[in-house]
Amino acid sequence: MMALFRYKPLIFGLALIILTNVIVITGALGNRAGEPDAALRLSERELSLRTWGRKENSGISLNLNIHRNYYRGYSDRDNWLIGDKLKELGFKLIESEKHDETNRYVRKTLPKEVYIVLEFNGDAYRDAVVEAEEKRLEQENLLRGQLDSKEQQAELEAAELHLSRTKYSLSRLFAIDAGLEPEALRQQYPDKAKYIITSGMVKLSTRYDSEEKKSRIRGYISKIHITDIHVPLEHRMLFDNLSERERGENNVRLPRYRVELAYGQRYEPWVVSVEDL
Amino acid sequence: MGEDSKTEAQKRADQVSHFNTELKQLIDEDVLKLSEEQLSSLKQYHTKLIATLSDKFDIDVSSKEKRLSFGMRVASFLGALALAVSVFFLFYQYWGRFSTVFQITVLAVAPLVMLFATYYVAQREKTGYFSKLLGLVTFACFVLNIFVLGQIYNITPSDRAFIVWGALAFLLAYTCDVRLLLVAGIICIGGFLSARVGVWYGLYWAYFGHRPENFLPIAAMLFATPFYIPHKHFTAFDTIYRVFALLLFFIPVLILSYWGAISYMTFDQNTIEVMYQIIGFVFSAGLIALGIRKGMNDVVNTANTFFVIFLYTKVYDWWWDWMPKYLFFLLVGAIAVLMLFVFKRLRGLTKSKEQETNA
Repeated sequence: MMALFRYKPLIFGLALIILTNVIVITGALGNRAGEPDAALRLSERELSLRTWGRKENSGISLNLNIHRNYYRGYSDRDNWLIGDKLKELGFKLIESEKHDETNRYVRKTLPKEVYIVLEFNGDAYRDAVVEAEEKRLEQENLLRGQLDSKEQQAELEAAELHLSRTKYSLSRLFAIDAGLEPEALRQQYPDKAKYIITSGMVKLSTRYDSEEKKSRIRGYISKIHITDIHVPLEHRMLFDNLSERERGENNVRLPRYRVELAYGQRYEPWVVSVEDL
Repeated sequence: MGEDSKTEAQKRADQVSHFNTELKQLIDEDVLKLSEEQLSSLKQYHTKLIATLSDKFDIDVSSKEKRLSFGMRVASFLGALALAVSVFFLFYQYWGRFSTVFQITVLAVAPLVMLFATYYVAQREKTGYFSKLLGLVTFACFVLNIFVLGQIYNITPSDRAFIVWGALAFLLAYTCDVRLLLVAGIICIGGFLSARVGVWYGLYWAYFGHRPENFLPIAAMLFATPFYIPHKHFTAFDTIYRVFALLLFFIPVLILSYWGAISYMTFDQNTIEVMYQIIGFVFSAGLIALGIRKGMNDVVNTANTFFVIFLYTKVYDWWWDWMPKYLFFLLVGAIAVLMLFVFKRLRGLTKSKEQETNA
């Protein structure tokens, strides 16, 4: 009994380390057990290879890219996070004519943890392509009227580049909805090869409506919890041998690989397979 | 001999050394006369006492030993930090070349082996330098263990990791008497509890810093800990609890006194800021008084530092913009002189109180 008392700190320490490992690993394996919640075949457009810190870190991970619809430094992302949707997520909204008051309220409001629906290669992506095409057409028409304008020429080139990148290089993964109950979201979006449900954060922001001359409250996705996805040893060979081959010009980089990504019971992802393109 | 810890043993040895120096002076100045027999008996007693303490706790008997010990403490501290960091870099340098099973095995076995090594060395080493160093490496291995498991399985980050990290840090700190691990434990458990307070108010755990008030209950708990759980067998653990409690209290109060918008309270921002400014002044002054009364130098010094910070930031707020700079700095200097007078008076009061007690 005395010997047991003498070894008490050691026994407690060992139990703590072993139990923690068992709980963490069991939970992770439980996530991967049974039928995945989602299984998609994404490309380098959606899962780009992490390149920083490779000198000190031999591990390989892929970054989950969500399309943010940036054009010339401006983004109209998450424009569905307004009004009733924000209320559904638990935000209380205020109606105020005063810009300062609205701003103060938004700054004070805490971000909320929610489940986010990511759509792959769906309507949101097609809309983005159509929008980029319309922008290019608009710039082309404007240039017809002022052929000598270098600025207008540059605008057209930017619109053309944006269209090419949207078509061939940028991510086709769009955040399209959010909710507090992942099961309800899955019922609403049952296609497991097209929709991912994952956890993240929504924050409030304000945008000034110049027509109505008042600030409007809207939300945006400030964080997706898991965007850095580990590549295990059995799949890393492809990435080790990935040649720095020509991927296109003018920032239109063509994808070099395809990854089958699954999401489990806890909405946590893992790499199922990889293939060269 | 009632010394149970190295700190107490060292204190007793220092007391003996000071006593002998003073005794020699008193004898030289003919204030005190002791017979040869008395002197010999005293010397014999002290020699035996120091030998026993030295054997049991490996204390420093001479000033030279003390200087060397200080060097060893610095080397042990820096070595422990460097080794802990190197554990991270070593693993990250090679882990990508291992299979998942091997990665997990290495990650789980490393803290277990290091825990055994720490315990084994702690049982056999009197100085404690190596066990402290190994203790810190054990903690680093466990942090790496859980952190990398999260990366391997793409697990959603959770504040629960801080409980187990904190538990091991506390266990090692109390087993090996390591202050650095106590600090790590306080940070982990303090972080977890603050996150939980935030969660109760509808905050996502990782954003607990967005509402500095989350730290205030933890500060109160930490401050109360040494009053209820005595730490006389541990080196300066009481001080660490109190200093961290005050840091966790005054830093949020200081932030809120200038940025009321991030408070839980829904009053007007200015009202919140003024309220926290008053809290800052009142509590720092009150804690200086409490520290003096209870003889807690750490509380006096920390509260004093924050009182000065509160005062100077307020002075800056009031006068920097409209006052000529020469006048501003003149006033700052004048305040410093005034504070010197106040502290001198306080010191005098404490001294006379001590003299009264001694008399």
